[in-house]
Amino acid sequence: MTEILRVENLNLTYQKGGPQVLFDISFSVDKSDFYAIIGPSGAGKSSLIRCINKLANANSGNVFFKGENISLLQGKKLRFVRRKIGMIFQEFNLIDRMSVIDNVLTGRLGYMNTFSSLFRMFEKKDISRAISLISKVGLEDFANKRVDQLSGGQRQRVGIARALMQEPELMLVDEPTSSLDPKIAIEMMQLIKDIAVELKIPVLCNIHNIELAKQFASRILGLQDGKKKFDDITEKLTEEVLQDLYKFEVL
Amino acid sequence: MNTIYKNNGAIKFIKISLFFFLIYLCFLYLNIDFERFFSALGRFGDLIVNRYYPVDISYVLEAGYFKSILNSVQMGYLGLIIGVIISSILAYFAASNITPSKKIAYPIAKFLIIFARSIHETIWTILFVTIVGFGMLAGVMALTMYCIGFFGKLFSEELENVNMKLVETMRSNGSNEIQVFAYGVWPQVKTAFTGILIYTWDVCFRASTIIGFFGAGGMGWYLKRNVLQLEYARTSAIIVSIIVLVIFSESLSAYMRNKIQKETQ
Amino acid sequence: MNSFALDVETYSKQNLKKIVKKFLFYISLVAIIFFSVYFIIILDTDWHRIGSGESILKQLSYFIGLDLSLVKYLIVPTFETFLMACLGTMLGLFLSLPVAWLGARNVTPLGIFSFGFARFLMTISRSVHEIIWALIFVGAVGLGALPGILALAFRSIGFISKIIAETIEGADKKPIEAIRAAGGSGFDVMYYGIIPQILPTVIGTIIFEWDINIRRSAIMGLVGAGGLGLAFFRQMHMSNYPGVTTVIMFIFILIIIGEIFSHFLRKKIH
Repeated sequence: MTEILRVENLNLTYQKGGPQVLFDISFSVDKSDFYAIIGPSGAGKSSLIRCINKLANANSGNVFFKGENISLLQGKKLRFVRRKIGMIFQEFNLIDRMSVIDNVLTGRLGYMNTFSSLFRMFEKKDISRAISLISKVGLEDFANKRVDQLSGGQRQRVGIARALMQEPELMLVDEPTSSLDPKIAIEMMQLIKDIAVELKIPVLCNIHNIELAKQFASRILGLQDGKKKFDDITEKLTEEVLQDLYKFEVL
Repeated sequence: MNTIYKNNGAIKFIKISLFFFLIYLCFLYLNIDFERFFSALGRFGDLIVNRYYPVDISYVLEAGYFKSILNSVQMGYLGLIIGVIISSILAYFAASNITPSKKIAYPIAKFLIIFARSIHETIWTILFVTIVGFGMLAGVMALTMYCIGFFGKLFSEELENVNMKLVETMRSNGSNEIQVFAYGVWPQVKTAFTGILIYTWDVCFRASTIIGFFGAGGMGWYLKRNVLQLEYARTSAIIVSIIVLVIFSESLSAYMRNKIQKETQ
Repeated sequence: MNSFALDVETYSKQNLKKIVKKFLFYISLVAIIFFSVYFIIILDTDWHRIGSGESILKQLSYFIGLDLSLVKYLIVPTFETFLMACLGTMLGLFLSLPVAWLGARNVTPLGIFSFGFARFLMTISRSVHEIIWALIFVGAVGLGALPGILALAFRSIGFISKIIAETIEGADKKPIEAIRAAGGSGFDVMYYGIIPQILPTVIGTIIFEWDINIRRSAIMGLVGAGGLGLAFFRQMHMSNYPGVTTVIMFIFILIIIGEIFSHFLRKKIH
């Protein structure tokens, strides 16, 4: 079985009495997939991503990671699962006044005990891994520079290196290019795809640019108003399907 | 057009008159003699010139008094350190966005901070003096409670304004709550922490200079003794010395604040 | 080689320095606390007189319980405390206006002299504790609510005038210039040019200081200046500890009321 993630009948309502955000979502991600989630804004893409690593708590349904049901996990067990799932964010979410390498090393926190993390006692092998990851994303000349002195594209690459520090078995990517220039956006998606292929890490990626999704993803999940409208390989995503998916979106 | 303006003016006049009438009623209720009120400033000036002057500076330069200054300072910083440590932890639980237990820990922590803050430092002093007797122990305990209330409120408000996205990021990589705080919250509040710390030191030191009046150690006790003995020249000397010390401490604080601002730029 | 590139050795060294610094800092902090506690508390305290842990708990237990017979006698002092805080804050505002005017660099009339004088007054007001102010005024005008009001007012001048002065300094020049150009007097400039700009901040500052003054007002009675402080003093004097707890409850409730008030007032402004 090469399935890495299976989502079954996920339902999500954010607040009591609030609107329901996700309706009975089911899909599964294979180890070789680069899965893109598309849909009009407000379709629930971000919420779905967050339900996977329980940053948002689904009201009902199950999430299976590597065959294990993680929906009810808490505390230490949840942390063990989370450290195996890397996440890349739309707004980069870096610690501004820290250097690139310090930010990247925070990806390792899930594997360190509290005392060593408070005193930043990173192991040599972690430091050397961080430096090689920083090279891999092309920032080797910036390792000691403060991240608030970097451009948007560079910052996102720090975020990628940080997520890779976790040695993840799944990457959740939440709108990686929304805060970037269109030209940089394509480079970024190429970088993520290349790394995913090289390190054999499956990717579940939230993206609102349909062209980028079609270009880089192997499978596409189309959401509309919290419901699954399309779930198939990229080739099968026709104009008709897109028209139907985005018909309610007012530009 | 004219009638509208006229009415506006009339309403304003009525409002202001009512206001002053209300104040007049308050004065009556509080049994305040108007003659005393208006002559207060004159008598105040009179008092300063005749009673509190000349100032007996030599008194405050004596060894005994000097030691009491040290005592006040020591009480001040010990109360500050212990108070800040305790209130930082309380503030963590009292911040609605990052508290781990919204139903139990949050209301308790919030209540403790508000309670510590409501009771004036002098009342804390009197209470602790009753329990542990006169001296610096009561003073340190009272100042600790004062700092918990003061620092706790400001810091918990700061924590509530933190950008939760960074917290979410740290949670997503499997960090435990302490790591989430250290890497997700602390970098955002570090400067505010130091600023509030310095501010708390200012008020704490000011309080430490006079709580001796109610039984704790330090300069306040000398003040009480001299007030009771009607030694006005010495009283004014003590007051002057307190003012000088407080000004000195505030200048130091302002200097520290500038230095830190420059370093974090 | 770009100066921001790194290798494992360089980073390890620079990280180690940081770790050592941090470690030393925390160790010295702990050391200071331990030594201070030792010298200040352990040596200075008369442990014999405090008694054992048992007697301390006993003393604490005396405070548990409320003396409800006092309640009807405490309502008036509570009201008095509240009024003292209100009047004191208002008088403080009134007195702060000229001080703020002198203390604002852009409107102060006599340059560095009037500015320095105003700053000096502000510092005195802030540095003298409200208890000392109360003592001074009790000496000047006798006992009762009046010295309390005056003490609170004079204590508040420092903060209120400082904030108002800073707001005046930050005021937009254009409305002021426009009024002057139209032929307005100094008063017109103040009333139509400056005051509308500073009003929101002033109101916010008043509410803030009023909130603090309720707290201060409760203790004015400790030195004879009216309010609940006197009740506190009396109950302590009679060693009626449940009575003391009752007075503290009243103070606490009063402050909560004040907090709720100021919370709503602040919401109304924004």
